[in-house]
Amino acid sequence: MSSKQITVALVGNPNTGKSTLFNALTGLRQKVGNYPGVTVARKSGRCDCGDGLKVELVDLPGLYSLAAASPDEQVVTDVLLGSLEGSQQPDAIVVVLDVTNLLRNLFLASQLAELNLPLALVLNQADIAHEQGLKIDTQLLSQRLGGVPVVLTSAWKGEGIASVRRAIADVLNKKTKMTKLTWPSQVESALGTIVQAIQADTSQAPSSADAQRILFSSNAHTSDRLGWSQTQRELIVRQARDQVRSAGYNPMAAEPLIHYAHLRKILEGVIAGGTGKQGNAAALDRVLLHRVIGPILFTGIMLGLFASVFWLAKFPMQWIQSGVDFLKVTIAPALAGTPMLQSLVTDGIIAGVGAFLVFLPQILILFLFIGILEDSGYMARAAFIMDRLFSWCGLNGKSFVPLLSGFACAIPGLLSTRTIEDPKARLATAFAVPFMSCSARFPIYALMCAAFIGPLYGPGWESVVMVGMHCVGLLFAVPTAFVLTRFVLKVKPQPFVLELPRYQMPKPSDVLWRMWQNAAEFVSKAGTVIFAMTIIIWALCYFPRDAQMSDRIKAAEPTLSEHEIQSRTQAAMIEQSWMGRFGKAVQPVFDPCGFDWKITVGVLASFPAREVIVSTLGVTYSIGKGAEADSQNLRTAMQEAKWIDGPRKSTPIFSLAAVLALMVFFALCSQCGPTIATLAQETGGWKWATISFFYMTILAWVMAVVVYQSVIRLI
Amino acid sequence: MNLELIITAFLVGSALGWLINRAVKKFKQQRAGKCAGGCGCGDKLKPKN
Amino acid sequence: MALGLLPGMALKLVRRAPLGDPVAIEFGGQVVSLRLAEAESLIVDVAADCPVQRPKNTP
Repeated sequence: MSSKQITVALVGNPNTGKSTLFNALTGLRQKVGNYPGVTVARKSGRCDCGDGLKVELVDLPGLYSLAAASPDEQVVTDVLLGSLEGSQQPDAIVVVLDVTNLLRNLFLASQLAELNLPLALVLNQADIAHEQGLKIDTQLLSQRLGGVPVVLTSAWKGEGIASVRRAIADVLNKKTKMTKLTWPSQVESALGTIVQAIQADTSQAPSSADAQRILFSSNAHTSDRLGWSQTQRELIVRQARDQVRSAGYNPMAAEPLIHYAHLRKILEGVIAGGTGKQGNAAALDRVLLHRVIGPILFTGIMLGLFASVFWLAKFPMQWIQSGVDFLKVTIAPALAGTPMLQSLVTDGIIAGVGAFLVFLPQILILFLFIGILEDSGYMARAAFIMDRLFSWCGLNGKSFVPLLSGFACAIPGLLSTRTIEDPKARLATAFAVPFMSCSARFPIYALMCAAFIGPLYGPGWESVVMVGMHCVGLLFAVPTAFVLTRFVLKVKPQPFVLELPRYQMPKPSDVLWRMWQNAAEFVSKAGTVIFAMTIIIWALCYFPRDAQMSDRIKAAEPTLSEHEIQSRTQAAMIEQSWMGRFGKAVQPVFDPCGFDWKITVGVLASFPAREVIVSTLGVTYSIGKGAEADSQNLRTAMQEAKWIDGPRKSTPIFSLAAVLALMVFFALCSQCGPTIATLAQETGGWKWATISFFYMTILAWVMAVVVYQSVIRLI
Repeated sequence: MNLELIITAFLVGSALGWLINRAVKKFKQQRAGKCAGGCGCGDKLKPKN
Repeated sequence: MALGLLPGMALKLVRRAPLGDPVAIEFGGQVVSLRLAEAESLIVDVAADCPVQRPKNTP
């Protein structure tokens, strides 16, 4: 058992089924970590390669070329080069290729050969190849490439996985490397020029791969990393590129040109047969990308997605709610002797965490559908359709995925903005992402709609309002992005290239596995942050507590019934708690929106995580419940809540106006703390994050006031 | 000082302490440029996997 | 270019997006979306049914 972990990197173009292969090789033994110093996630898993050989398989994001087009891709390149600080170069590389598009896929492999690492090739999608009548001579290919293992697989069907394991073991043992191409002599000397210059300047000779990056890429990343002086570089690189030009190549196009020429020769006689490409894609695209039908279907699909999330989840949600209530009722008597603890456990923890967990089914279904859309290949089509709309406000079709992701959670949405090359478009997209009503806001919409819209106006309106709230965010995101890009950032239009992959059936196990991972994360959030938060909020609502309170009330107003005394006591206890005092102090700010102090408190307390508002309301309304305590349910408690004093006395707190205002506030207000932090991270500083926070919060307040004030006058 | 109060104080105190600790850690990580994590980054909707 | 769109290759304009931009181009057995601005920079010889083209410098 060696002490050092053997690491094998899984690399390949996007859409090659690499993740499916990764899942097949690692099963459930996966984990997500991070690369030090950068914000790309490190997805790794344990792979058993036989004979007691256990390797750590690292799934790197798909990319087309080592000439990185975005910071994300740059990280992948750096990891492979071993130049990312704190990350070791992998011991071997497994390149996953789409066998139906071998030439293009081999380009990356050919670049990877320059890294001098043991390498194995996996030709995936063998099932599709078979359908198309393609025949690949893997032996010949392997021979031509220096004897590297060439394995044919169909990850989707689970075929060939064992051979991949063997190939990994093989490659690690024999250290077989892929044959590199021979550069034309002028290119060779151009590379030499660069190597020598850097050696002279930094007294460390760079690898050929590094020199290639400098020669062929237009960014200064590698030069910076090697510490090559600015003044030197310009001159030398220009010299080197002139040498390349003398060979008849445009230096910026040289790399692909030379590699592809080399690869064409390699592939001669390797592939036989094969029909026209993208058989199914062409037919499906004719409908899905049709000028008229396309957008209609798209809208339909998006609406369908949200409607399903809403309706399909209803039953499971009820079960969870019943479970929570049952738990409360069962545990309460056991703690009857210690009223403080009883309150902490039932009114605090169970009520609070329960209110949050109830939304698990909706989250699950949302992630399920988005996963299906992604894996099936439809997402790229959606970006294709939407691009025009986005480019108008300076974003591009690629913004579609981060924005859509934002509907699930803003944080992955923000992270995925890194696929957008242009930094200004990225910033604009990142700024717009928080407007997408993330899944954390879902609970509050759902709660409000189920408690107040549904019962009074029917399920039809319930759905409309649900969808409407999500649109509110969008409505404001668009002009925001527009103003941002046109006037503040002054963005110019930039290239947008996106592959439209073959359509495929999402593999159920993959989709479900991802859904499970997301759910586990949601639940752990509940078990940790929310749990802690609810305890604290409970404490803030419980203390300070006057044991003589009910006696005092009785003494002051002896004519009150027992029931009334109880209610008054409860109310008074809440009011004099820390939370109550704070909420009341701040409430005037929110009064024009129609919020009472409990709602205000909920809004304020949910900064660490927006879902907390539901838990907070659960706690404040649970503790503050009247003596008719059979209804443990938050919904009912809220429905019955009335203003105690002031101009609205005795009217329901949750009037239609207030409910709508609250939802609008939530739709627009700055998202949770972690989102702000991520935004700061992604935009390289706190400036934009702070602007976002204030802009959104003020906007939310203004709109909430507008909504409240207009609705009470109109309805 | 009854036991109940002590237990409650303990629970509340640990919850508070834990949250603060976590917030501080995240802040430090964010300053070092690392992934402030806890957000499912990587396994969720990364385009083009 | 990293996608394999090289000089001398045959390509086919498959469709335009519903809003006119971008366009989907098929070449080398794959379909790629390209904005009009970029597509216009491709020099194409439309000959009979066999277009031959020389791409711009950047990938």
